[in-house]
Amino acid sequence: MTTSPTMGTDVPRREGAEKLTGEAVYLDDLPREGVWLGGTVRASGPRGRLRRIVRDPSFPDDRAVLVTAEDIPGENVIPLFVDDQPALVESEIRHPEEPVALVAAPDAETLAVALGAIRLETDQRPPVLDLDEALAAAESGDAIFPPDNVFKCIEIVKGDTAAGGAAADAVVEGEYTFGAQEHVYIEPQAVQAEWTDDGIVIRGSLQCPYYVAHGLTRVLDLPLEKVRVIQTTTGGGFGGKEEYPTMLAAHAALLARTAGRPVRMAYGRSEDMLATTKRHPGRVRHRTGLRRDGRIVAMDIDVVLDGGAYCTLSPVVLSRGAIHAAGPYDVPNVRTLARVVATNHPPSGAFRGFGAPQTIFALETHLDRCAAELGVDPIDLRRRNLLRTGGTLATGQDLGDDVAVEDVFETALAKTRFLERRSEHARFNAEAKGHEGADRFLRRGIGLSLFMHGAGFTGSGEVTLASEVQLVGTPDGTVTALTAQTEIGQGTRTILAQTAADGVGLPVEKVRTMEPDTAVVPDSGPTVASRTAMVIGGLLLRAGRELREVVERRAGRELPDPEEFCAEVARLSAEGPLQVSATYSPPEGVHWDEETYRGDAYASFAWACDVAEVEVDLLTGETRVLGVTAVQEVGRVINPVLATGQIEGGVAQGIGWALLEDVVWEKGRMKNANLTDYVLPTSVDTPPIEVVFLERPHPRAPHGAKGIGELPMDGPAPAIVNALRQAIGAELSHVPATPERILTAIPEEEPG
Amino acid sequence: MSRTVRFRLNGLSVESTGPPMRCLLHVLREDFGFTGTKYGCGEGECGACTVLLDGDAVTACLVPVAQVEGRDVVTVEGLAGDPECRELRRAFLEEGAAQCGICTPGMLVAAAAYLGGGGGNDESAIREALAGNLCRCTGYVRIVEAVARAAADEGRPERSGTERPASGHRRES
Repeated sequence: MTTSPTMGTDVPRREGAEKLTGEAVYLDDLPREGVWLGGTVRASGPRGRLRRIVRDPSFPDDRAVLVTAEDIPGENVIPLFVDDQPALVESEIRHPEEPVALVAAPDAETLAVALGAIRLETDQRPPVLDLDEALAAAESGDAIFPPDNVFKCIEIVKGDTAAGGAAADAVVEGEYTFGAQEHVYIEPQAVQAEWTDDGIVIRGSLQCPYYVAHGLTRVLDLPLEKVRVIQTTTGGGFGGKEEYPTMLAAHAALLARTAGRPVRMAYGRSEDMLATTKRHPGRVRHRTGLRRDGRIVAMDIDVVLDGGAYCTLSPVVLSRGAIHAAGPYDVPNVRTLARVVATNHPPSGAFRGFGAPQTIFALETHLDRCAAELGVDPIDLRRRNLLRTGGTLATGQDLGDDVAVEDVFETALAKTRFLERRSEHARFNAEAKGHEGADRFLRRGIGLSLFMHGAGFTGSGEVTLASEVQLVGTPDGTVTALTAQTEIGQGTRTILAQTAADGVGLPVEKVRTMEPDTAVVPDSGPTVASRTAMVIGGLLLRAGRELREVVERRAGRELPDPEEFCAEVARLSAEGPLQVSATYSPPEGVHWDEETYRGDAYASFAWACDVAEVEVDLLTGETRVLGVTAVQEVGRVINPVLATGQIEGGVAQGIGWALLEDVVWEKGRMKNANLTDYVLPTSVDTPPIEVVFLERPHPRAPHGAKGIGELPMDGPAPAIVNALRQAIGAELSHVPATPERILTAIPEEEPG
Repeated sequence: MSRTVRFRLNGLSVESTGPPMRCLLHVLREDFGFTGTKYGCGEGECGACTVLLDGDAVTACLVPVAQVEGRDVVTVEGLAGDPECRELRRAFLEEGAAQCGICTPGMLVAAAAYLGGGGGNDESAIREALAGNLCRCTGYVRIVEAVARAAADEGRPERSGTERPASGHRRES
């Protein structure tokens, strides 16, 4: 009896049961006995110089320890692309939340006393908090990031925008701005460090165990084999637990070293919101040449993102943003200039979508502006410019027939009866003025956004990573998948078990997944960039097939019956190690030029169209999202229930960014760092979300799956802003479109 | 100042000695080891620490332990044996209502309070009942569906485990 495939079926979440009983152990649920708590002394202003760290006599020396930059055994750096960020400030202060000193104590009360006994003497100077000021700093010779405050500059050129622009009947300009966004994973950042005879052991709520391990080798001056990183159950990540846990782990390890005992650092909500990374805020300017019929002949795009005080992942966030800036359209002449600059804000970082939501918001809002200025239907305008088979993206990439943008677009239009709904809303709005009571202030609108999201790492990222996975037979007859991929809620454990099971040809119950522990699992790369299902799933499928070959070869016969196969696995595993591995190799015919930004930025793209309907109260400026329909092509869906959950959750985060989540800054500091003043969508703010999958297997992945996690974050903001355009008859060129901004935007003559 | 507070916790009589204004969340997690009740914000906004207090859903981070004197506290661990909650948990698992899981215990407790109060499968009533519990992963759709399914299932605990309701997603090719 052979096994039917599990991919495409709703295998229940592997760790679901323990999450439903409260038994799942998150970092702060670990036993507290013998563990001290760590805390952070942070810089008191956005920019300046540290003169002295003063320890007040009230510091409880016998029950607390203090760590400063002088206590770092290795390099004082949190390494990423550029080694510019220190683990602890030595002299230069570049943002208000910079860690300057660390304190640990046996309990929270003593820790608070000890933290209160540390005082910083600093010289303050005027900060740079504005994009234009940051760009001007090159001339003033006063750069935060020398020489010119630009972490990264990217130019992507296709055709000739000057010549293209000359052929245009109209040129439409627009500037679109967007705020930062907090991840607000409901479990704040937390790690625990413990020194053993074999080196340092880190347990933590994190996405990328090997990032932390490699970072600590430098801070602690240890070889990789002396650094062990174990992921505990992680209460959400969304990119926020990609790079920051390295900082937290370094701090906990330093404190544990001085304290001579395990130290836990678990941020409170406010500290987490203040100090950890956020989505890059910034602006995008568009200058678009169009012919009268809506054909776009030239696009000039200028992107500036605020990277904050240190480089972190900004260059690759910018890269993804720049590559997605011209959208899923075939435009003959495109020039994108993209820069990410240094300011005295806390560093921006990875957040679901990774630069793409920002540039897609700008483009999709701008296309509705173009349509309005030209007097053409925004639907027709998009239809006229869609990427179709044989066309090329702004990087010159020709995807052959791996293009589904027209499918998702037309499906979304048909499914939502877009044109009819738009007419109904227009009628509703026209009639509303004549109504009695509060109803006369209600206006409705429908809008859409069309977008794509490159699957996996940009350019040659996967080649550099050379990820490895292993499948190991165990004497009980099961197979264990070893990867560094973390379950952070998205379903990694379940879908990787499914792909491995289908590779071997076993029921999914026969496949286990090992928890990410760098002492045990190979480096299969970080859990980011929507790469897990596509890249690691593909590797496990390959490894699974190979394991079957090995087992059948050694058995000397085919073993289609799973029970027989597992018996053979048990027998062979008892004899000695039964293990296969698979390492990433790039698909044929994918070429990317990092210098010119030309070529195949991604082996494949996921495609999507979001339709949003809104109702606005002209009296209060409040927006109610009536519904969102999300149509996407993500290749083959491995687990429909989990995949649907990814889309719905991403749409909700997109709604938050579009309407509610407003990071308010004051002198480089987040002013509303709590969940009372920073508003997340609740169950009553979130509408019914209809999710439609069109499945076209990814031609370059063995199981046909593309990335899914980030895609749904890209579309809601522009779809909602375009719906607001119909509802209030004005454009919101900034997100979040809060009630205050909507009230300001409503044309004077409008209210009924 | 230290006081001894006596209350019922997950069906057992217990006492807690310490500062009377210490929040129930810390007492439950640190003194009684009920770590299923989660910290998320410490100011009653996220609902991750939701517990039942005399059957009502409350955020344990805002309840000083002195307030539970003589009262009945139930955490997610205390729901384990309840047959209705077993149905609710199954609905959560099969509908995909738990992702990262950190909001899940609080969400389950809030849902249990809703169902225990006679709540039905009306979508807007369920959304209203869960509005004090933030989830950053799901967009609430599957949670609302799971609670609606559990509400519809009430009184029919013999329902077959293999039977699956239609879920919200659609696949087309």
